[in-house]
Amino acid sequence: MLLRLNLLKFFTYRADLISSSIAHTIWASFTIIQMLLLTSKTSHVFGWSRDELLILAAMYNIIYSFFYMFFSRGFNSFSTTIHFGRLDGILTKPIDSQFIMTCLYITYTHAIRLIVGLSFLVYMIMYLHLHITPMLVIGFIFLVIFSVMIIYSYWMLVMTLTIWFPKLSNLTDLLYQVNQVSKFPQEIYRGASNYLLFTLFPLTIIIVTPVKYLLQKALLGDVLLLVLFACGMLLISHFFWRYALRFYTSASG
Amino acid sequence: MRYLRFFLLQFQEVIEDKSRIIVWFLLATIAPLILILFWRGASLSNGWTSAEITSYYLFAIVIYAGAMCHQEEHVATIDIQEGGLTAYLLKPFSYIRLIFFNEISYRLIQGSVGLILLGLLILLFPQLFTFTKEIDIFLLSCLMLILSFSLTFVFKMVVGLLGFWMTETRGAFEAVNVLIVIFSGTLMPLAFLPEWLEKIAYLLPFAYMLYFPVIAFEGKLSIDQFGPVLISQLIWIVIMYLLYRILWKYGIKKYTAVGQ
Repeated sequence: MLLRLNLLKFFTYRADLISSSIAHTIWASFTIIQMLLLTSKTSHVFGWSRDELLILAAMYNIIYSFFYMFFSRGFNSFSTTIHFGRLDGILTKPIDSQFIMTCLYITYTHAIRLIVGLSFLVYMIMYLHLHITPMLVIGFIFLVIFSVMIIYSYWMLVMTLTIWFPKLSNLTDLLYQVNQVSKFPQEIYRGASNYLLFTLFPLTIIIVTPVKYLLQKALLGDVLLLVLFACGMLLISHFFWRYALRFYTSASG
Repeated sequence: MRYLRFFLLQFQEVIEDKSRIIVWFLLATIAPLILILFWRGASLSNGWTSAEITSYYLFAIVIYAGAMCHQEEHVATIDIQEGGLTAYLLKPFSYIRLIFFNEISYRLIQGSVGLILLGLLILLFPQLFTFTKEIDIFLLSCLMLILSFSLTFVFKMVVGLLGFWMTETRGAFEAVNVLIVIFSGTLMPLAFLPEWLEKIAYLLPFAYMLYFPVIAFEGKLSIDQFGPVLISQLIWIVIMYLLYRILWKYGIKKYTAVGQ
């Protein structure tokens, strides 16, 4: 039902559909072009070869396409829903409020990001003659799901703060920028401050781990870390939301 | 005098939004800071040292904040599509001047925040920076910065006026943003681009918006190289202004305000 409603909306605003499609195609291509340009005069960065970095860029498109498609629009309206007291109506409904706040809108145009990323990944797999087995594909799909869970939980934890600071409408803009952290190898953040590393660590493993898995370079520890972080952060973000609701004062409060 | 008063009014209006302006500034610092970390691990053979790359991105943050205008979305959506332009047309000032004073207020505040941050970093970590110590080069770099602001302003006005002909401008604006990121040197110094792309970049106006002012302040431009860059900036400003006048002339005939 939710998928159908969103599909109807998708076809109703056709000018917006075309405009968004162009914008997403541009940014999806830019992610790959950016890596091509950054590595045009260097063969290795922190032990990662140019081809591996390009796979990283393709994977960034794939994983974020799912997140943007299913959750970003909900998060975009998060602060205004709270600021204008529209959360009142949501809390009275017999459905989990976190679900309504974050999962109600689907932006199908982000599928373009997925198509661009997937096409480029297939090209790189063929170009590098990587041996891909069905088991590897299944494992990879699971890792993508866990990565999306981490992004979702990260955004949820940050956006929940708008219960206390409802005017912080540009928090989502900050998160869109912070997402860029995951576009690059984890090693580049070595030597950065511990505080920075602690806050950004989950984002540094979400793209790198599936890429290492696909290149058959991932250790069991890498995979376990991703899975544990995904499950732990999802639980923590849910409890944090429930806790924050106690402080919600509504618009007239 | 009336323009000074008008500027002060705009400045007062903009400063009310200061907390959001600071957040916007911080947002613009994330990508360059990641790129500084990225280049630490790259083996480059084009003569740029680690200190030069670091100071390039830090100067780029400040110059981006102080010179890169962002009025195109406001012009296209709020003024042209939602009819806000009507109110401006009735005022005894030209529309472009009103937008100019508004934008200059934003750039002054964001540029000042950037300058304070850069000053602190230079004081704390002088070994990370390379910058010109010659007063004549510094003064010429300041002139280049003013021209770079003027160029981005007229260019973004031209982009904003596309709203007269397009109902959905988002796709076009994103395309322009990507071109600016690649060809202005926001992503990386133009010297790091493949040679064929570097040549194209010098033919476009974007390099004169950010790249040349940055390398000028870094001291990478000799005094003889300033002349051609300043002249190119002036030529691009004139071309963009003429284009703005043409688009305005034809666009305003298409403009229809909605109201009662």
